[in-house]
This record gives sequence, structure tokens and C-alpha cells, in this order.
Amino acid sequence: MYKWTASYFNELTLLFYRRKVILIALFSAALPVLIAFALKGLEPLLALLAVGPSFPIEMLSLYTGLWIPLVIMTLTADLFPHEVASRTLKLAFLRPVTRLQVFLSRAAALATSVGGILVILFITTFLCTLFAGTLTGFGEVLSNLKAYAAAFIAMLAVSAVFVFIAQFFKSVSGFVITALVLYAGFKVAPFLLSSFSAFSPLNYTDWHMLWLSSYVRAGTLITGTLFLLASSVLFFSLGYYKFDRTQV
Amino acid sequence: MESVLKTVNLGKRYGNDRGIHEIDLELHAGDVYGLLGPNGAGKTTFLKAVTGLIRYDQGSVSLFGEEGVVSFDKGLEQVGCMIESADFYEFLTAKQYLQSVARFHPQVKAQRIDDLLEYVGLAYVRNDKIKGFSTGMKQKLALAAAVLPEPRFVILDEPTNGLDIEGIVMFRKLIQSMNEEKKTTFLISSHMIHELEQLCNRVGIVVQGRLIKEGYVTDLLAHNQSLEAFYIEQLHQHKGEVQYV
Repeated sequence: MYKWTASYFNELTLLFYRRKVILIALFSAALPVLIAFALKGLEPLLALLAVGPSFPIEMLSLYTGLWIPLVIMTLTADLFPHEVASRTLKLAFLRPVTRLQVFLSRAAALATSVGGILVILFITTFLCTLFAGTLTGFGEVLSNLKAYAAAFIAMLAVSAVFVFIAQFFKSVSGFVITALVLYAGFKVAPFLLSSFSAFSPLNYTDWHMLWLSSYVRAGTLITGTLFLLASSVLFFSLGYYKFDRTQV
Repeated sequence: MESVLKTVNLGKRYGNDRGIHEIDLELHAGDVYGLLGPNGAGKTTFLKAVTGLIRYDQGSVSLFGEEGVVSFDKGLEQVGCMIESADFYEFLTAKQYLQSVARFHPQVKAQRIDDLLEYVGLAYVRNDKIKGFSTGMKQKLALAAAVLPEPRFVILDEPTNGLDIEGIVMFRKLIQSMNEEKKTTFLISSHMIHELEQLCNRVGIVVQGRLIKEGYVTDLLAHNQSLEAFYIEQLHQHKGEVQYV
């Protein structure tokens, strides 16, 4: 177990030694505050409460729809195609760990980063509503927490899909362009074929909204959760199958 | 004598038909083995195959009795490697990089990292980012990483590339001291034949993916013959050319 832990800790520290990861964390924390200030300024014009009780969820929707998938793409590119291109993948393969341990530690580091962004966002938006005086009570915070946890599961599935795609590329640019086109394509596809979204893990990015509604049956939520977890397992497994065959 | 590395009928064929073919080799504890051969002969492919960086098509590899494919991770616990080129995460400092290597070897103390950086002459840049290092400095760092956990077997591919004279002497002394004091086994691929002649007790010559000659240096060399003359002779014999050296 210590080998996996060492590998995981190495991947995490490697991520955090990258300047861009620090910038991503800072931007993730600053964006809600900047938006809150901007909305506050526009409040007389909009004639509504800028930083209302739903602010944490509105920001979550913005993040899960755009910002976090972009971060996942960037980090996945660094963890996989970039390492092949810069020939640093061999450094991981020459350590006394199995390829499965290397792969899982990278996937775990990616998941940790996504979780980190959600935690940062949750705390920042909580503070924004607190300072704006629109925090309604503990029940609201708990409900938001539930939505954030659901969003994490959806983002895990998105990570799994991108990690799988990344295994086909040896250059960062090729991967990022393909991932962006595919992501946009998956977002547009439901407009052409309505049933498509139910079977695409990339179309569950606003799935956390279901967890806020009292009209959605528990069965629907459980089915969705299982679908996302199964998608994660499937795409991570397919990704590992390719990763295990990588020759450097 | 304990078998450190054993390959049987090892083969790997690339799309362009190059690669390695039917290589049988066994290294025992305490050997310092020099792998010689022209450019593109298959030396690096062989080293990649025995460390699991590439998948071989035929034969078998075992490291300390652990069958390759199945458990390279177990075999690599006692192996330090430096293969192909000294590539790094360039945003790390020299010390951070060695710390990342040490995480896999709990027995390595923090002091060992500082001592090793001192030994290879990189103590003054321990907190500098690798991005600014010269080729020789990177080579020294890769060498330090390979020997950091005091492995029982060290695999080095062109270890003296880009090293200055002082670095080459340091490299030679390091190998000699590890071999004499701890019976560390070395497998070194290099074109620095005079260096190998001083260091190795066994050599092997790889040409066009095949191990055409191998054995103890003392057995291979005729009276007063240099390793360089022997190597050229073997190459010419293999090519079927007239020997003139």
C-alpha cells in the first residue's frame, strides 16, 4: 500500500509544483468573489438580489458546465499526453510500482484536484452569501452540500472520459483540441437526438440541480448516481487498458 | 552465485524490422557488465525490455528471480535505472526530484539526498529548478537518482553523456566504490570503451539486435589486446570484412 500512497503523493505534489495549478486554484477562488462584486454593482439596474441564496448553486452550474471540465482537460493533458511527449512517463514506470498503481494514483490526483476546486467554490460562495446577508439557514447549506457532492460524482465521470481519450494521444495539443471538440459535440448532440443525453456521462454536468428539487424521486437519483459511477469505472478501466500497453 | 538479471531468448521487433533477437544473458551479483555496440544496435531496446518500459515479443526476463511481465514492480525495488536520456520534470528543483524518488524507498534518509547532491557536485544548485540545468548537470542528477536508494543492481544507459572530466572521474569512482563495498551489480551501455575497460569485468557486444559476443574481459582479450581493438575485430568479423586494426 505504501507504494500506491507514495505514487499518489508524488502525483499530487507534481501537480501542485506546476504554476498553472496554483493559478487555477486562485482563479477558482477569485471568480465567485469577482462575480459577486460585479452583480452587487449591477443590483440597482437588475432590480433583484445579486448574491441571493441560490448564488452557490448558480456558480456551481457555471463551474461544472465550463470551468471544471476545462481544468480536467488541462490536468489530464499534463498527466498523460504531456508526459509521453516530454518522456517523463518513464520516470514513473521505472519506480517499483505497477502500471495499475501509476494509473490509479494519477486518476486519484485528478479526482482530488476536482474535489479541491469544489471545496474552494463551496467555501467562497458560502462566504459571499454570508457577507451579503442572504444566507437563509443551515438547511440551505446542507442542501447545497448535497448538490456539490452530486456535482463531484458527475465531474468524476467527465474525468474518466477525458482520461480515456487522453490515452490515444502523444501530444497535448492533439488531445486538447479533440477533447474540446468532443465535449462541445456531446453538449450539442441532445438538441438533435433528445435521448442522447441520458446515455452520455458528459451531459450530466448540471445533474446536481436534480438533488435540489423535492419533486424528483429517490429512484431517479439513485439510477443517475449508479450510471455515473458505472461510467467512471468503465472509462477508467478502458483508459487503464490502453495505458498498460504504453511503450516508452 | 545469485542471479541478478536473466534473459532467455529475449526478442522485440519494431515495425521497421529492427529490435533485438534471441538475447540470452545472465548477470550475477557483483558483475560490472559493459554493453557495447554501434548506434542503433539494440542496446537501449534491450535495457528498456529488461526494465519493462517496452513489452518484449518473445522470451523472458527475470530480475532477482522475479519474472518480468508479472512483477516488474517487485524486481525494480532493488534496481536503479537511468535509461536513454536524462529527462525530468523541469519545474522541480534537484532536491525535490530526489525527494520524489525517495518516497518509494522508505529506508532513504533525508541526509542521504544532501550527501548525494554533494557527491555528484550539485549541492550548490540543490534548490534550483532543473529547467536551468546543463546536459551534464542533468546527467549527474539522473545518476544520483539511480543510486539514491542504494540499489543492488544499477542499469545505466550512456551515463557519461555530457559529463565533464571531473564528472567522469566521479562516475568511475562511484561505480568502483559501490561495487567493491556493497557488491552492487552494474549493467552499463556506453560508447566510452576506455572507461568500460577500466570498470567492467564482463562485456557483451550487440550488433543488429543480436548479442554476438560476450564473456569475461580477461577471457576475451588476447595478450595485451585492448578492449577497443577486440571490439573492432569482432565488428569486422561480424560484417565479414577484412580485419586491419
